[in-house]
This record gives sequence, structure tokens and C-alpha cells, in this order.
Amino acid sequence: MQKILGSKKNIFIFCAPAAILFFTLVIYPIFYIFYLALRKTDGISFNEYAGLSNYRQIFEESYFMNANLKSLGLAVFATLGIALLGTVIAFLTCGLKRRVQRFYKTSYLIPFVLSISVISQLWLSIYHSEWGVLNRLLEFFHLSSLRRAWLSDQNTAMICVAIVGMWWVLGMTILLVYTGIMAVPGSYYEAAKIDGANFWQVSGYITFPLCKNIIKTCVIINTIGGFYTFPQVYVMTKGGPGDLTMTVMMLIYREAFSNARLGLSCAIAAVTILESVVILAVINFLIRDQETEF
Amino acid sequence: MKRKIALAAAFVLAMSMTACGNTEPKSDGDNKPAETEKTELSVDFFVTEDNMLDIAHYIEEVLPEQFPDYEVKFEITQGDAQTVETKIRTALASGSNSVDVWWCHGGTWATPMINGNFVLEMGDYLESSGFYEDMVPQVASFVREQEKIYAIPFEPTSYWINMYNKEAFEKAGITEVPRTMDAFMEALEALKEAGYTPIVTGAKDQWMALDFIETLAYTISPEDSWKAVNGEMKFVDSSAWREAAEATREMIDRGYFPENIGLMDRTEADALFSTGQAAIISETSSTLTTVCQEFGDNAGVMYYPMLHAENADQYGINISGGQKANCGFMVNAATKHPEEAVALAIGLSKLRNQYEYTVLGNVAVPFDAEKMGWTLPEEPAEGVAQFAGDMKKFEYSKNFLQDIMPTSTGTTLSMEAASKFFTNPDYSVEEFLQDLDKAVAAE
Repeated sequence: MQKILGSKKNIFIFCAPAAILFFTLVIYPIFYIFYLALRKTDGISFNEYAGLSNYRQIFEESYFMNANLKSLGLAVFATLGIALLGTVIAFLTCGLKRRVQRFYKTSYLIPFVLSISVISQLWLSIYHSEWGVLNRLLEFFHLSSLRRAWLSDQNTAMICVAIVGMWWVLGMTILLVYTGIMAVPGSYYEAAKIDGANFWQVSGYITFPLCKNIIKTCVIINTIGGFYTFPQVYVMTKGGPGDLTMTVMMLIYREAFSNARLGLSCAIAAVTILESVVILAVINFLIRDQETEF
Repeated sequence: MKRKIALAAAFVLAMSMTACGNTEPKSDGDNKPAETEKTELSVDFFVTEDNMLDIAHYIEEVLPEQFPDYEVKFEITQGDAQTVETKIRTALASGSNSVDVWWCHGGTWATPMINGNFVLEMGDYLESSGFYEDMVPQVASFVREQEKIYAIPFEPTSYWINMYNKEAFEKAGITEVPRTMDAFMEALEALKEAGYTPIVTGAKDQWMALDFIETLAYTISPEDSWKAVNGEMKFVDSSAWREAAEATREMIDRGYFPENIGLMDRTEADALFSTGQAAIISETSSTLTTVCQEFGDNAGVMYYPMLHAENADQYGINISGGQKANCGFMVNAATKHPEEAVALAIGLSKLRNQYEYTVLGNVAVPFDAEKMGWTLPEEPAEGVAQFAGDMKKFEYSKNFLQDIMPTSTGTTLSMEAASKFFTNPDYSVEEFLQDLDKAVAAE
């Protein structure tokens, strides 16, 4: 095996199929998006050069900035509500008895094995203003004043959409961080115990620094995932009513397939890609790799 | 040796990946073709309403018998109009010629496909096929009037109407069908007090939200939409649209629609009505036969109330709907068998309408039922008979989204504005009309 993998030619051969797929399905489409962003086309009947007019249009109209703000809001929610909350829950779970930990680990993962479309339909029936479970529960607990049309109310619609994503993905985040915590050598904890460190000191000086990379990974996955929220919006509201829950991804879909403005859609996608790069850079800066000495 | 094994494994992996994409059985050169070689065609049949699924299965069943010389690959695709139209446009744009015949909703759905030269122009094929002689004269002349014919009419002629639950009306003490807006509001209030959801529509299917307001506007001035789109006036200056929007807003504010009307799709609205919880449903007349089957003589038909009481004699005259240009079965311009594909498209249309007429009792089919030898399953329900008679009196009948709005973007923006109007109480009538004007101006 060493001999085979020692040769660069063999490595290239083994990597070639995946590399070809990656280039064809990821790299090439990204470049094509930037190309189409400079065109005026409906993707089917005409295709002419438009320069930067698509970019100009999306920044002049308010719909892109509105959708962008909503998506950024979802990204922030995902960071706080999923990544950081998941980290805290993982930390707390590690402090429980083994059997209890096993129970919770399984429970956290149950939503994640379901399809997001199924979950969205499920939450749609929870949020329904007439016969939804949530409003019925509020009535049951004599809190009818809190009843509302959750997905139609501009104060609650986006939060409701965000909660669906959080419910789906939180378990995966908890599990990832939990795995990272379990990988920390037990001797460090023993030494800390001998030195009389409490839970918070152990978490702050041992667990968190050693799990920083995995927490960073969770923050990246969830922030970008929140920014790119689409399935639950599509299933539950389709960006409506009106444009109340219109996210950037839903806007891209609308412009490409409903409005047949593929060039404009690609311009939005191009700006979104650049925004993602900025978000990643910020996360990398905030959660920098540091030497940890023990 | 190990290196050779590793290289062989990589080669096999690469081969298996390319082989995975090949699902067609390779023809053996030794096998001779069947004596009568069948014409192979594929059909994508879109089901956008629940009641269409039975029709789709019926057609799938009888197709081999009706077309014994054809080998038809019949695919049923379920979804809303946007989903199914996106599917076919994506297939065409990607260069796929796997579909020979499909159903298009017409209007701005059809425009990109026609402009992209993906659709077969069928004028010459129809002249030679005897197609026009089988249609009712009104529809035949509608099709002939089009400069180029790209679609075989497929749907029974459909209009935007209100259907009501007679029992609910009785319980609410409503003795007469309201013909004016004042009487309509009183009726809605009475229904609300009687414990019913007075009126529903599938506003989440945004076109229904817009059609509701549009049809109200038609009671004052049906031509305003056309004028606004063609630059002769603006929506903000249209008293018809303004009053229609104001009346709709008043109905919403008074709670005559369900609370989540903005997120209520067509299926849910239909369910609310068919379970007797809602008293009136705004829908297309294509669902009338289904409603009459469910409710029997308890189903009533009414039209949009006149916003101006002095025009009550014009009640039920100007209705949104009718046959739509480029709405129907289309044939792929790249099909290998154009003549057969057109014949299949005509056949599919006949089968669909035969089912509508002979099983569902829908009298609004575009074909001459008597000439086709079709008979109604039984005496038409009262509502169907009434509608069949009323249809003959309709004068102006166009649909804003499918006949008038020229671009997909304008269509989408208009629908979104209407959907927002139904949901957001802070979204004023003025803003709504301004957004309609912006939609018209959108490229």
C-alpha cells in the first residue's frame, strides 16, 4: 500500500474520478454562474450580453436587500441557536451518566434522519393558524391571546422558519461536538480534578480549547446552512405570503424558474457566493487556530 | 502485481460509473425488429389538481387501446403549475428531447418555449386532421384566430366563479343569491354569525389571489387590465381595480376569509369547502362538476357581486377566464414523429374531455359532444346545468395572468403583490396598485 500510494501517478489515478466529478459538478457551475450573471437570458430562448446591468438591478431594487437581510438573520440565528446552543448542550450532556448520555444522543439525532421536506410539512401542521398543534396547545393552556397566524405574521414568520431548521440540525451539531469532547484525553480531566478545578474551569481551560476546531466546523456548517436556507421555505411558504419569508435562495429560485430571468438569478447567486466567502473569512478570523499548551 | 490489481480496480470503478448512466437495454444486432414497428412517443401529463389524477389514470389505461400503433411512455407529474412548467422548461433548456408531448398552461408559461423554437407549430397538421370539425364553433374559431397554433386545447373552458353551499345559506337565513357588493357583504356577515367561514380561496396559489381581485374589477370595467398592460392607463388610475382591492381588503378585515388565507393553498381551500366549514369558495369552474358530485343539489353557482349596485343587470356577464392562448398539449419541435405526435396530442385532448363529459358531467368541453357521440352520465346537476346556460351569456372573458400579462416576471410580481395584499394588513391598496404597475413595467 505504501508503495502504491508513494507514487504520485497512482495518487492521481485514484483521485481522478472524484476530481472530475468535483470539477464538473462544483467548480465549472460556479464559473458558469459568474458568466451567466453578465448575460440577459431566460435559459431557453434568448441569451445576450448585459454587462453589469444585472448586478446594478439587484442593488437598485429592494427585494434583494430584503431577502439578503432575512438570510443573514437566519445565519446569525443558526450560529447562536444551533452551533453555540449545540455546543452548550454537548458540554452538558458529557457531564451526565453514560446510560443517560446514550439516550440523549439517540434522541438528538432522530430529527436529522428525517427528510427536510417531511419535517417542513410536519411543522406546517404545527404552525397552522386554524387547526395547528401550536395554537391548539395555547388554547388548551388558556393562552389564546398568543394565538396567531405564525407563518403569515411578519413578526413571527422568519423565526418560525428558522426554528424548523434548528430542530432538524441541532442534533448533528451536538453529536459532532460531543465526539470532539470524547476525544479529549481523560488524563487531562484527571489532572484537573486533582488540582481541584470545577466544571466551568475544566470546560473553559481544557474542553473548549481542545474542541475549538470542531466547534469552528460546526459554526461554519450552521452559519452557511442558515444563510442558504431553502427547503423549509419552499415547502412551507414559498417565500410568501407576498415576499414575507423570501430568502436569498428562494429569490434565486424565483428569478430563475418563475420569472425566467436566469441572468439576474445568477447575479444574485454570484453575490451570495462572495458573501459566503466573507462570512467564512470572518469566522476564521474570530475563531483563529491558537497553540494550546498543557 | 499489487500495482496492477490497484490499476485494474480503478479502471473497473471508472467503467462502472459510466455504465450506471446507461439504463437502456442495448439492442442485440441479431434480434430482428417486430413486424409492425410501433411509433415511440413520450408524454408528460401534468396533474395540478387532485381531480386530474383520476383522469390521468384513465387516459393511461385506455391509451394502448386507442393508439395500438403507438408505444407511448406516459409519465404523470404531480405538482403546482410552477413546478410542472419548470420541469418541462428545464428539460427543454438542457437539450433533452425525451418528451414529445406535454401539457402547457399557456400565457407566459408558453412564451419562452415558443420563442426558443422548442414547440412545433401545428397549423398545417390540424387543417389536415379534421380537428376543427370536432370542436365547438366558439373554440374552433378561437384556435383558428391565433396566428400560429402551438397547443391543442385540452381543458374544458374554465371561468372564475363562486360556488356556495345552499344549506349554509339556508342556515344563515340568506334567501337570495347576492348580486351586489352590499348584499354580498351582508350575506358574508350572516354566514359568519351562523358559524361558517364565509368565503375561501387558495390564496397561497398566488394566481388565485389575483384572480379574485381581478374578477371583482371586471364587474366595473373588464378592459382596465388590458389597458394597463398596454400602456393606455395605470392600475393606480383604475377605479375598477381600486374599488375591487378595497372591497377585498374590507372582506379580509372583517374576518370573512380564514385567518391564514395567505398560506391557504387550493387543496386546503377545497377541503374547507367540501367539509362544509366554508360556505363559499372562489374557484375555477373546472371544479364545478366535482363540487356538484360532492354536494349534489346543495351546490350553488354564483358570480362575483357587482361593485356598483346600479349595474346589477350586468351580473354574471363579464367573467375572468375562457380558453387561453397556447394552453393545451404541445408537441416538441424536435420530435422524430411530428404527425403522430400531433395526432396523439389531439387524442389525449379528446380522451380527457370525454372523461370530463361522460363521467364527470362537465358540459364546458371544447369538443362537440353530440358529434363525438358522448352522453352525459345522468341529468346534469342543477349547478352544472345553470352554468352551462349562463356561459352562453358571457361577454368579456379574458384572464389577466394568462391572456394579458406579457412577461413571466410581470406575472410573478403581480401574483406576489396579490398574495401580500391578502396577508399583510399594512400593505395598502395604493401600494398594491403601484406594485401592479411595476409588474407591468418589469422585463
